[in-house]
Amino acid sequence: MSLTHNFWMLLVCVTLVGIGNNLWHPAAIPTLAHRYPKRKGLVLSFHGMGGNLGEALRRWSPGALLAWFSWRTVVVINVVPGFVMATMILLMLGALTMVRTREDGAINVAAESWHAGKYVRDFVSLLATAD
Amino acid sequence: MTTATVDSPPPQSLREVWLISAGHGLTHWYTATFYLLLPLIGRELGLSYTEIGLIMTVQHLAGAISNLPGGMLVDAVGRKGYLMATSLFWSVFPMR
Repeated sequence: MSLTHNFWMLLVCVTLVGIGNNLWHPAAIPTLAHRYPKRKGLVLSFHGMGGNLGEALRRWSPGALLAWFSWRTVVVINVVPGFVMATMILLMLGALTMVRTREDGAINVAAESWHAGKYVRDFVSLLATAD
Repeated sequence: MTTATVDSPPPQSLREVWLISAGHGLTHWYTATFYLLLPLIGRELGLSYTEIGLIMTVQHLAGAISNLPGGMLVDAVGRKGYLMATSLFWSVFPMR
Protein backbone atom coordinates (compact mmCIF):
# COMPACT_ATOMS: atom_id res chain seq x y z
CA MET A 1 0.00 0.00 0.00
CA SER A 2 2.93 2.31 0.65
CA LEU A 3 3.73 2.02 -3.09
CA THR A 4 0.19 2.89 -4.14
CA HIS A 5 -0.04 5.72 -6.61
CA ASN A 6 -3.58 5.43 -7.89
CA PHE A 7 -7.13 4.62 -6.87
CA TRP A 8 -7.21 1.10 -8.34
CA MET A 9 -4.05 -0.10 -6.58
CA LEU A 10 -5.48 1.21 -3.32
CA LEU A 11 -8.74 -0.61 -4.02
CA VAL A 12 -6.91 -3.91 -4.55
CA CYS A 13 -4.96 -3.46 -1.28
CA VAL A 14 -8.02 -2.74 0.84
CA THR A 15 -9.88 -5.64 -0.79
CA LEU A 16 -7.07 -8.02 0.20
CA VAL A 17 -7.08 -6.67 3.76
CA GLY A 18 -10.86 -7.16 3.89
CA ILE A 19 -10.57 -10.79 2.75
CA GLY A 20 -7.66 -11.60 5.09
CA ASN A 21 -9.45 -10.20 8.11
CA ASN A 22 -12.51 -12.33 7.59
CA LEU A 23 -10.61 -15.58 7.81
CA TRP A 24 -9.83 -14.73 11.43
CA HIS A 25 -13.22 -15.09 13.10
CA PRO A 26 -14.24 -18.51 11.73
CA ALA A 27 -10.82 -19.86 12.73
CA ALA A 28 -10.45 -18.21 16.14
CA ILE A 29 -13.93 -18.56 17.65
CA PRO A 30 -14.30 -22.35 17.19
CA THR A 31 -10.73 -22.81 18.42
CA LEU A 32 -11.43 -20.92 21.64
CA ALA A 33 -14.78 -22.67 22.17
CA HIS A 34 -13.19 -26.05 21.58
CA ARG A 35 -10.13 -25.46 23.75
CA TYR A 36 -12.03 -23.95 26.68
CA PRO A 37 -15.39 -25.77 26.58
CA LYS A 38 -16.32 -24.82 30.16
CA ARG A 39 -15.33 -21.15 29.88
CA LYS A 40 -16.65 -20.23 26.45
CA GLY A 41 -18.32 -17.03 27.64
CA LEU A 42 -15.18 -15.76 29.34
CA VAL A 43 -12.74 -16.58 26.55
CA LEU A 44 -15.01 -15.20 23.82
CA SER A 45 -15.41 -11.98 25.78
CA PHE A 46 -11.61 -11.73 25.99
CA HIS A 47 -11.52 -12.27 22.24
CA GLY A 48 -14.07 -9.49 21.69
CA MET A 49 -12.16 -7.23 24.04
CA GLY A 50 -9.01 -7.78 21.96
CA GLY A 51 -10.80 -6.54 18.86
CA ASN A 52 -12.10 -3.42 20.61
CA LEU A 53 -8.69 -2.64 22.08
CA GLY A 54 -7.10 -3.04 18.64
CA GLU A 55 -9.54 -0.52 17.18
CA ALA A 56 -9.14 1.86 20.11
CA LEU A 57 -5.34 1.87 20.05
CA ARG A 58 -5.17 2.15 16.30
CA ARG A 59 -7.32 5.22 16.21
CA TRP A 60 -4.93 6.99 18.52
CA SER A 61 -1.48 5.76 17.45
CA PRO A 62 -1.36 6.88 13.78
CA GLY A 63 -2.02 10.42 14.88
CA ALA A 64 1.09 10.25 17.04
CA LEU A 65 3.15 8.61 14.29
CA LEU A 66 1.95 11.10 11.67
CA ALA A 67 3.58 13.86 13.71
CA TRP A 68 6.95 12.44 12.60
CA PHE A 69 6.33 10.33 9.52
CA SER A 70 4.40 10.43 6.24
CA TRP A 71 1.37 8.15 5.83
CA ARG A 72 3.45 5.84 3.62
CA THR A 73 6.00 5.34 6.40
CA VAL A 74 3.23 4.86 8.98
CA VAL A 75 1.77 2.11 6.78
CA VAL A 76 5.15 0.34 6.63
CA ILE A 77 5.68 0.65 10.42
CA ASN A 78 2.19 -0.76 10.79
CA VAL A 79 3.33 -4.06 9.31
CA VAL A 80 5.68 -4.89 12.21
CA PRO A 81 3.18 -5.82 14.98
CA GLY A 82 1.06 -7.93 12.63
CA PHE A 83 4.09 -9.78 11.31
CA VAL A 84 5.40 -10.44 14.84
CA MET A 85 2.01 -11.63 16.06
CA ALA A 86 1.43 -13.86 13.02
CA THR A 87 4.84 -15.46 13.57
CA MET A 88 4.09 -16.00 17.28
CA ILE A 89 0.76 -17.63 16.44
CA LEU A 90 2.46 -19.81 13.86
CA LEU A 91 5.08 -20.93 16.38
CA MET A 92 2.84 -21.31 19.41
CA LEU A 93 -0.45 -22.44 17.88
CA GLY A 94 0.66 -23.85 14.53
CA ALA A 95 0.71 -27.39 15.90
CA LEU A 96 -2.75 -26.98 17.43
CA THR A 97 -5.15 -29.31 15.68
CA MET A 98 -8.89 -29.77 15.72
CA VAL A 99 -8.89 -32.85 13.54
CA ARG A 100 -11.44 -35.60 13.86
CA THR A 101 -10.45 -39.15 13.03
CA ARG A 102 -12.40 -42.28 12.31
CA GLU A 103 -11.58 -45.44 14.14
CA ASP A 104 -9.99 -46.81 11.00
CA GLY A 105 -7.42 -44.01 11.16
CA ALA A 106 -8.69 -41.72 8.40
CA ILE A 107 -7.94 -38.17 9.40
CA ASN A 108 -10.10 -35.09 9.29
CA VAL A 109 -13.55 -36.42 8.60
CA ALA A 110 -14.79 -32.86 8.29
CA ALA A 111 -12.41 -32.27 5.39
CA GLU A 112 -13.26 -35.63 3.88
CA SER A 113 -16.96 -34.83 3.76
CA TRP A 114 -16.41 -31.25 2.61
CA HIS A 115 -18.28 -30.44 -0.55
CA ALA A 116 -19.14 -26.97 -1.86
CA GLY A 117 -22.54 -28.07 -3.18
CA LYS A 118 -23.50 -29.44 0.23
CA TYR A 119 -22.56 -26.16 1.88
CA VAL A 120 -24.64 -24.17 -0.60
CA ARG A 121 -27.65 -26.45 0.03
CA ASP A 122 -27.17 -26.16 3.81
CA PHE A 123 -26.89 -22.39 3.50
CA VAL A 124 -30.09 -22.13 1.44
CA SER A 125 -31.94 -24.39 3.90
CA LEU A 126 -30.75 -22.16 6.76
CA LEU A 127 -32.17 -19.12 4.97
CA ALA A 128 -35.42 -20.95 4.30
CA THR A 129 -35.88 -21.72 8.00
CA ALA A 130 -34.74 -18.33 9.24
CA ASP A 131 -38.23 -16.91 9.54
CA MET B 1 -19.63 -43.88 11.29
CA THR B 2 -17.89 -43.63 14.62
CA THR B 3 -15.73 -40.62 15.11
CA ALA B 4 -13.48 -39.47 17.89
CA THR B 5 -11.88 -36.14 18.45
CA VAL B 6 -8.14 -36.30 18.86
CA ASP B 7 -6.36 -33.09 19.53
CA SER B 8 -4.14 -31.41 22.04
CA PRO B 9 -5.17 -31.72 25.72
CA PRO B 10 -7.19 -28.83 27.22
CA PRO B 11 -4.87 -25.97 28.16
CA GLN B 12 -4.18 -25.23 31.81
CA SER B 13 -3.68 -21.50 31.40
CA LEU B 14 -5.29 -18.69 29.44
CA ARG B 15 -2.12 -18.15 27.38
CA GLU B 16 -3.84 -19.17 24.14
CA VAL B 17 -6.71 -16.80 24.90
CA TRP B 18 -4.34 -13.86 25.27
CA LEU B 19 -2.51 -14.76 22.10
CA ILE B 20 -5.67 -15.20 20.02
CA SER B 21 -7.26 -12.05 21.51
CA ALA B 22 -4.15 -10.01 20.69
CA GLY B 23 -4.22 -11.39 17.15
CA HIS B 24 -7.89 -10.41 16.91
CA GLY B 25 -6.95 -6.92 18.05
CA LEU B 26 -4.47 -6.66 15.21
CA THR B 27 -7.00 -7.72 12.57
CA HIS B 28 -9.16 -4.80 13.74
CA TRP B 29 -6.06 -2.60 13.97
CA TYR B 30 -5.49 -2.88 10.21
CA THR B 31 -9.01 -1.97 9.19
CA ALA B 32 -9.10 0.90 11.70
CA THR B 33 -5.92 2.32 10.17
CA PHE B 34 -7.73 3.22 6.97
CA TYR B 35 -10.22 5.49 8.69
CA LEU B 36 -7.40 7.75 9.86
CA LEU B 37 -5.12 7.59 6.87
CA LEU B 38 -7.72 7.82 4.10
CA PRO B 39 -8.13 11.62 4.23
CA LEU B 40 -4.35 11.97 3.76
CA ILE B 41 -4.20 9.29 1.09
CA GLY B 42 -7.19 10.81 -0.68
CA ARG B 43 -5.58 14.25 -0.70
CA GLU B 44 -2.30 12.92 -2.09
CA LEU B 45 -3.93 10.75 -4.77
CA GLY B 46 -6.53 13.41 -5.59
CA LEU B 47 -9.52 11.24 -4.69
CA SER B 48 -13.05 12.54 -4.31
CA TYR B 49 -15.16 11.81 -1.21
CA THR B 50 -17.17 9.36 -3.32
CA GLU B 51 -14.03 7.41 -4.21
CA ILE B 52 -12.85 7.41 -0.60
CA GLY B 53 -16.25 6.10 0.50
CA LEU B 54 -16.13 3.48 -2.25
CA ILE B 55 -12.80 2.21 -0.92
CA MET B 56 -14.32 1.43 2.47
CA THR B 57 -17.43 -0.04 0.83
CA VAL B 58 -15.30 -2.37 -1.27
CA GLN B 59 -13.25 -3.43 1.75
CA HIS B 60 -16.34 -4.44 3.70
CA LEU B 61 -18.01 -6.03 0.66
CA ALA B 62 -14.89 -8.13 0.09
CA GLY B 63 -15.08 -9.14 3.75
CA ALA B 64 -18.77 -10.01 3.49
CA ILE B 65 -18.29 -12.11 0.36
CA SER B 66 -15.18 -13.88 1.66
CA ASN B 67 -16.84 -14.91 4.92
CA LEU B 68 -18.62 -17.93 3.42
CA PRO B 69 -15.64 -19.50 1.60
CA GLY B 70 -13.56 -18.59 4.67
CA GLY B 71 -15.91 -20.60 6.88
CA MET B 72 -15.83 -23.53 4.47
CA LEU B 73 -12.03 -23.45 4.43
CA VAL B 74 -11.89 -23.39 8.21
CA ASP B 75 -14.21 -26.41 8.38
CA ALA B 76 -12.01 -28.25 5.94
CA VAL B 77 -8.66 -27.46 7.53
CA GLY B 78 -8.00 -28.84 10.98
CA ARG B 79 -5.01 -26.74 11.88
CA LYS B 80 -6.69 -23.53 13.03
CA GLY B 81 -3.39 -22.01 14.20
CA TYR B 82 -2.12 -21.97 10.64
CA LEU B 83 -5.34 -20.32 9.47
CA MET B 84 -5.13 -17.57 12.08
CA ALA B 85 -1.52 -16.89 11.13
CA THR B 86 -2.53 -16.89 7.45
CA SER B 87 -5.28 -14.40 8.19
CA LEU B 88 -2.83 -12.02 9.84
CA PHE B 89 -0.13 -12.42 7.18
CA TRP B 90 -2.78 -11.88 4.51
CA SER B 91 -3.90 -8.65 6.19
CA VAL B 92 -0.34 -7.44 6.78
CA PHE B 93 1.22 -7.84 3.35
CA PRO B 94 -1.14 -5.56 1.36
CA MET B 95 -0.39 -2.90 3.99
CA ARG B 96 3.31 -2.81 3.10
